[in-house]
Amino acid sequence: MEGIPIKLVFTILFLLLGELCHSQGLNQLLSQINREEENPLPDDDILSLEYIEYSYSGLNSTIIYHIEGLSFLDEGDIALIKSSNESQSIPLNKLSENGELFVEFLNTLNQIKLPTDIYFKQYFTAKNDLQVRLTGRINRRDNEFGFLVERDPFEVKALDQTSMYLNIKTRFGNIIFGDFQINNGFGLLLWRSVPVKKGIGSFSQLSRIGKGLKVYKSSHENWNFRGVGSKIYTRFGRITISIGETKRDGVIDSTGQLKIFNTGIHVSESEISRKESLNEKSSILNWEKEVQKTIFGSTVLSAQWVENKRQLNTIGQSLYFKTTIDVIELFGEMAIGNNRTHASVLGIKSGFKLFKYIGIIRSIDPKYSSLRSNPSTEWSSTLDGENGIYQSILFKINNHRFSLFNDIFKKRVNSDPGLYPESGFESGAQYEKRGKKFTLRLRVKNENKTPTNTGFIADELIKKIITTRYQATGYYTHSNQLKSKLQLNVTAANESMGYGINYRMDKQISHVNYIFDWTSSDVKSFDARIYFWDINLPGEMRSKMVSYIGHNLGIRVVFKSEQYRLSFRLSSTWKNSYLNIHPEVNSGLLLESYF
Amino acid sequence: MKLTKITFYICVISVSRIFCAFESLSNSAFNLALGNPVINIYGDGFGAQNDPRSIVSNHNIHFSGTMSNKFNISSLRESSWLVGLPLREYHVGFGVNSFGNKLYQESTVSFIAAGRFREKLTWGISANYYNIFIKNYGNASTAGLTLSWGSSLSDYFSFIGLITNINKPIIGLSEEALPQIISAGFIYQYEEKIKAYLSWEQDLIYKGGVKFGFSYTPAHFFGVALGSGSNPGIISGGFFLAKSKYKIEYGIISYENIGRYSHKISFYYTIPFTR
Repeated sequence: MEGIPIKLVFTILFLLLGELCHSQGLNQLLSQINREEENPLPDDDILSLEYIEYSYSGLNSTIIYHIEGLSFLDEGDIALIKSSNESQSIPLNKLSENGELFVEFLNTLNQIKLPTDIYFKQYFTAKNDLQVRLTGRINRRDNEFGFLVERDPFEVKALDQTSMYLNIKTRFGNIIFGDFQINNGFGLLLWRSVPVKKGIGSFSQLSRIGKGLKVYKSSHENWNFRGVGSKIYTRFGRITISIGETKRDGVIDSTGQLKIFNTGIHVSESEISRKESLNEKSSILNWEKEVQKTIFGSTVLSAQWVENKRQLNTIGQSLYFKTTIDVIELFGEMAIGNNRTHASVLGIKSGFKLFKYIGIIRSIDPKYSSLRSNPSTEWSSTLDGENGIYQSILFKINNHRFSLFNDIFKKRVNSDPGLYPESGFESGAQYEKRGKKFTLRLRVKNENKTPTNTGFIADELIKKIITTRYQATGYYTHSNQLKSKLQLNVTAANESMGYGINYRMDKQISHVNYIFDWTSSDVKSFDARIYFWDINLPGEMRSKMVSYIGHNLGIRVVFKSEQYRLSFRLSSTWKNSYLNIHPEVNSGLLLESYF
Repeated sequence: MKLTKITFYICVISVSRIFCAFESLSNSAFNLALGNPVINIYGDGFGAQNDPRSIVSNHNIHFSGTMSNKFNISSLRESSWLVGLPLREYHVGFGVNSFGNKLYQESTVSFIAAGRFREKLTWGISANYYNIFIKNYGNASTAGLTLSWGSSLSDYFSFIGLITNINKPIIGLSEEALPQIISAGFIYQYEEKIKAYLSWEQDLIYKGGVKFGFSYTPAHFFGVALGSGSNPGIISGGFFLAKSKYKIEYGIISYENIGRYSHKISFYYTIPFTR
């Protein structure tokens, strides 16, 4: 499938699709969601969206449970959805951008569903090697059982990862055996595997409070707890308690520092040797109480890690709150992590009719970490700590929406003594006009970081990394059966420029959905790289980073019946202008069966 | 002279593939004719060791045997035997397989269980006990589990997936890993006459390859098959003759990268009483 034949295949498909041409449902939601390409939705959200897509039968309690867990929605969106009997009666103009898209997605769903309580998903992809993921789920009344097995490319074990859960509803709440996760507060102690990323489109997510105990469905290999967890509702509030013993990839170094490897890849000798090398024992107790419009919560946890003969013990504590006073919302969390390090976040959010504002300050001690901490920070490593302030404003005038954000950050210490800590800022603006047929989104984002600053050399001599990204996206609905998207990207990084264009056509014919995708780029350096959404199978949300001169062509075909959905994607990348070299081929197959 | 040839071919395989124990598929002759996929396309024959869900396609107690000379070398003998028994909605099977010569012998004993789930999913699991005997060196043995499943997509199409040796068994003092094969493919069947498949097959320590094949059965007593595969390149063909409860199959496969071919003969017998 390389070289000329693949070009021929794409040409024929392009011509065919030109003559064909509705994309609705989840695919449409994911393609238009207000989110930066570097920042795909977390697994949890996509799995919940898939569940909603296949099991939606009105706004019942199970659907509401999944909607409450969607991180990209605003609390206001969720309150509106919960207060409505059916999705069609929800006023779109009162929703956030993503909330509007989500309710439009709900409105497209067929409410007459088959009793599909068993779901089996087989996922095979190949780039340089085969990746296999099999997942299954059985729902019986309010109880659920699920499993996941996976092999990543080049791994030597056919079932490198195995995961399983059993969730049983009790009179007082629920109890989970197997793999589970706990998200509490604002991510300082316990959060999902993906932090809330700062940026355009993050407005709704940064003020969202964790939803507590959930089954673990993600394919992330190093974030689950394995054991027993239970959520109990009492008149004193919600109590969550868990004990677990989890094998993780990690080491305790000679200085006593804990290092966890989150890649989940086990290919090289060192990766294989550290697979599940760390034994983690944990116990967690959380109490959360909602009084009128105020939520208070507190978490205490203890953990012990053992690797060979080294052992590390820690405790973690946090207090968090969220309160609403008229149109003002205040929220925050204070936590003590490993080695008695501290972290805190404090935020304010206002929700006036025409504009909304959010401001959050954060302070993270150097070397701060906890059992599953994953706060929203600039640097993924908290080794040097950081302080920062994030602010964002949204305006809405009829169909016109403006959003602005700014984030200023600075490391608390620098790993190199004698140097000033790194600092910088990120800012961005977005304009969006939504129409019945045409939606336009214009975005500009600027990053300015000072990697090192001696403080003795004049500023003009110091090399700063200044990156400005411009993006224009148009979504056009030709008919119910044909939709298209055109996106232009320009990145300026110091003295280098990157240009990219992407066109995507989405066509529905009977039970078959076709997507054709074309990208061309002229990027001369890695600093000027550009991001586009990749062509994805249902349930995937991958973006592609482009840092070359070249082209990419992709096709996706999805066939859907009442009993299964079969999807196939194929894309080729030519890293030159003339398409006269062998392309890199990337393919995937997904079969979802319903019983 | 024969010993030199055997040593040569084992060395050829050993050079291109570092590990070679239990890599010879115990397929039926007609499955070999279809391109020798690890997926057991027709369901009869000994392929149930690698594709245990395939045993559910048999409705009666059945017995099958396969014999071949690998690479057309008379002393390099391969034979497989299997008996299958349907038990209501479940099926069980027992099989033995041997490959090698007087100096080197691989043997496998398999217990197979399979079933259907809501008429849409077939599943199977085989527990295999592997033993190697090398003259003057002794024995080594290990156990492996193989899983396979099939989803019916329509009256004509089905999807098959399988993973062999999911527990990553190792054998001997050298801790040689047994092959772990992942395969996924589609089977098309039009009435009883035409059957075709396309599959991806990969032993995890090598690059994967595509296999495809086609069979035509103009009459219930006769059918022909052709198949091919890539990486390594193979071409195969064969036929079967059937009468009453008996079936005899013949298959031939040519190996592109070593320029040799193998013949295989299988027979299949259904005990004439139903479950």
